[in-house]
Amino acid sequence: MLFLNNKASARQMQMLLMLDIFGAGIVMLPRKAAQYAGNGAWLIVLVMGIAAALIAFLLGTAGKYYREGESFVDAAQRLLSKPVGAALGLLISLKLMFNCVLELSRFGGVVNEKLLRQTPFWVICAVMLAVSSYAASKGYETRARLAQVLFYIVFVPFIFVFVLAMRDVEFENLVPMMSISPGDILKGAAQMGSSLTGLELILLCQPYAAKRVALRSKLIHAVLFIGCVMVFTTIVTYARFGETITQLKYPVLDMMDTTDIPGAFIERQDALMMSFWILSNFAIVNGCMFFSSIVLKDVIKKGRHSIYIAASAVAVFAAVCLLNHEDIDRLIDMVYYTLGAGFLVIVPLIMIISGAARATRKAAMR
Amino acid sequence: MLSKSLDENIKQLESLFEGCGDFVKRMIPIGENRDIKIYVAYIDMLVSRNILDGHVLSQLMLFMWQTPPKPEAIKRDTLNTIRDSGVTTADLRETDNMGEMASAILSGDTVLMAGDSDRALIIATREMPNRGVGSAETEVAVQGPKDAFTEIMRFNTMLVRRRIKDTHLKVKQLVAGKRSQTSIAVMYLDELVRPQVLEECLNRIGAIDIDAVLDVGYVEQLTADNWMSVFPQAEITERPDKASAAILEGRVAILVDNSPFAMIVPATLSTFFQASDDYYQNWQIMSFTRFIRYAAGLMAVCLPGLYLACALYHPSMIPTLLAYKMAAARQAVPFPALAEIMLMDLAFELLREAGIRLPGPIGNSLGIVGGLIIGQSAVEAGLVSPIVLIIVALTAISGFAIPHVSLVNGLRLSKYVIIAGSWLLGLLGFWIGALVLLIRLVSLKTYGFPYLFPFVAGEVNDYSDIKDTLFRAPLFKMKKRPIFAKSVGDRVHAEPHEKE
Repeated sequence: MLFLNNKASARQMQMLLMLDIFGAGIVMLPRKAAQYAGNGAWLIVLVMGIAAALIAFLLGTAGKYYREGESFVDAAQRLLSKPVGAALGLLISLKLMFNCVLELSRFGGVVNEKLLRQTPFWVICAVMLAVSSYAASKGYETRARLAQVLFYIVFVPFIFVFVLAMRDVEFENLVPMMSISPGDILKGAAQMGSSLTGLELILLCQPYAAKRVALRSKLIHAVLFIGCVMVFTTIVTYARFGETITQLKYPVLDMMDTTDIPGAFIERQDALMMSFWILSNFAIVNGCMFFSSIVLKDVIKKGRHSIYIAASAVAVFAAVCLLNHEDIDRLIDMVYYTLGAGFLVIVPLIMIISGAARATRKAAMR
Repeated sequence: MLSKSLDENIKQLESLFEGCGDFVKRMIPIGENRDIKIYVAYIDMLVSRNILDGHVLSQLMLFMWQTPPKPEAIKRDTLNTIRDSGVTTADLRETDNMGEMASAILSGDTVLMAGDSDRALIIATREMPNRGVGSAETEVAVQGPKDAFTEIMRFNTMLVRRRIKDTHLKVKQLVAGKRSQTSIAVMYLDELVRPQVLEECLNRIGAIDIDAVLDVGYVEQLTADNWMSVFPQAEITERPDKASAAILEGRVAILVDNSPFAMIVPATLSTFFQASDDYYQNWQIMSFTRFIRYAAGLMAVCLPGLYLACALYHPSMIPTLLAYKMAAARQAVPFPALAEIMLMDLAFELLREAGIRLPGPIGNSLGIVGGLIIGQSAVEAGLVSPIVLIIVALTAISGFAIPHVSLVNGLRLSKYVIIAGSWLLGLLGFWIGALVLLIRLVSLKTYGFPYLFPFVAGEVNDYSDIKDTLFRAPLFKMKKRPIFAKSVGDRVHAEPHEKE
């Protein structure tokens, strides 16, 4: 058939991945980077971007050991034994649900503060969760097509505004350029990695590719593009605000608000920026909901996907309501250092080693 | 099955048409001794008197009396003799099935039974009352042909064939409707149509199980991929040039007897923004028009919701001077913003519905008078603010800028989702509503094609379909056929010569 059900083209997967990664931490990344490295913030974001591309290479290579039609759980069970595969499935599903909870909480907090002061926090989260779950229930093909529409709505105005913002920045704020030691740059880049929440989805999305030829390099290109957008955003934001950036909670939103768009008649541009952020946040929540439920289904191997989505949504919503919102940043870092690091580096590495060993053994037997 | 006894066959046929006052029958004796009987039956006014009298009855009565065939020949095979010497029309066929005979009579054909033959002749004599080929009323074009489809299916197939003089243009004839026995013609170019699409189309029409198919709208609804969707899944047109263009794109046109519209499948969202005169005029101006149409589509869905979100939740987004003016205008209005919008929207919907039902000139006057007077009076009475009037009017006008009414209807209903979202959650609700609509749209497929193609999945056809969406590329630049067609060479074979 011309259009494959539940499959996506490489272009669609690239867009989906870019939206997933972009939605996670962009509004706070320049502040966090500046708090760590001052005017060297962009350097650690740059190194973080390069590291993300290397991790994408690792995750893409692990995907090469999946057989046709095999999901992450199936491949892990085959390569690392059934119990280990199932345990990894449960863990990554849990991790994605955590991501969902944390992203939703952060989203609810920002919307509450910037757009809807009177609306209860849980209503904002419930609405976003409901629409994300609805999209997840429609399958991967729908998600991929959605990404092709949302990509342009999110990125084109965002980049347009930031290019315009360059007229009013003081690049002197960025000098001296190498005020931070290489060791600190690496340490900072590792710490900023929590802004790349959607990266581990590379491990899960590859079975949905209509064609797997050159998929790894295309996914790496997507990660590099997002890395460039993040570096660009950090440079422009720091050049605009200088050291005061560390006192701004959401510097990217403030940046949008203070940028003068010639001929524009909208008074509060940050509200407009919020619109783009709503969409990119939808992308990451929707991605986490889709994969956490489908991985769970792959582990249990029973029932319909929509039931798992509904169950995950209830669990996520309960956690959002029970969570102490002061702890979000700490929890994001905690999840990133434990489960995140495991699924970004350790798990793919083990899968690659196991896959390569099996391939060598098979070749020797032949 | 027919028997060898003419009396028995007549009895059986007449019992089927018992109580049908328009059933006409006649027994005619022929042969040298006038001892051979033939029986003719038809439905009054469904047949062409010229064909019946000139080519059938006068032949039988005069010619066969004047130069009768040899008695032994006529006795041996009466029906064949009559077919060879008694009827001077080429379009006839034989049958031995009583059901087929009855169906043919009901379709305007004449049935002839003779002697002791167990077969009958069905002579094509159909000529139904019709209003002729008129001009398009719902799809008016500034430039281009003015003719429109009519209720007679055969006229409609002729109107298409006149435009595509190619033996690859095929017409597959089907029948649907248990009682109506409506003829349906499926037209396509067999070199271009995708076999899966054609097969799916024929299967879906074949699966229609209903008493009557009275219009192409029945087929549209009964063959739709998703009956829950408010968005149209087949293009309905009254323009033969549009149907022909669609066939040339590898799509399938479905014509239904008694319906002056053709249905075109597959249809994607972008096809509903295309009008036939888009291709008859300069590409620059038509690209501009296309862009306006897409903007109109967005406005028809989003404008009231966006106003509500800004007015209720984010007034600080609106420029200060405008915000003051809006607030001042709203000061005297006793209703909340949502009620204002809904009130004016309801008034407009009432005017639209009443305008359609009333005869032409009165309907137009009602639209103008009602719109002006009600709007003006509502503002003067302080029931609505002028800005709401402008918003509702702009939304309505935007709907009229889209060439396909079925899409406008879908957008009309969709806007309420966004209004509800914006009313409840401001800009967040606006985007949530928009996302819900978008999810519905991207998950919709028609005959296997994504509804939002080529905006999504455009890479499948190397993005060449984009050239006929938001803008319209010059004709000679649109070389590749759209995704609907099998890839069998380009549709533009050479570029125009450029003058030095």
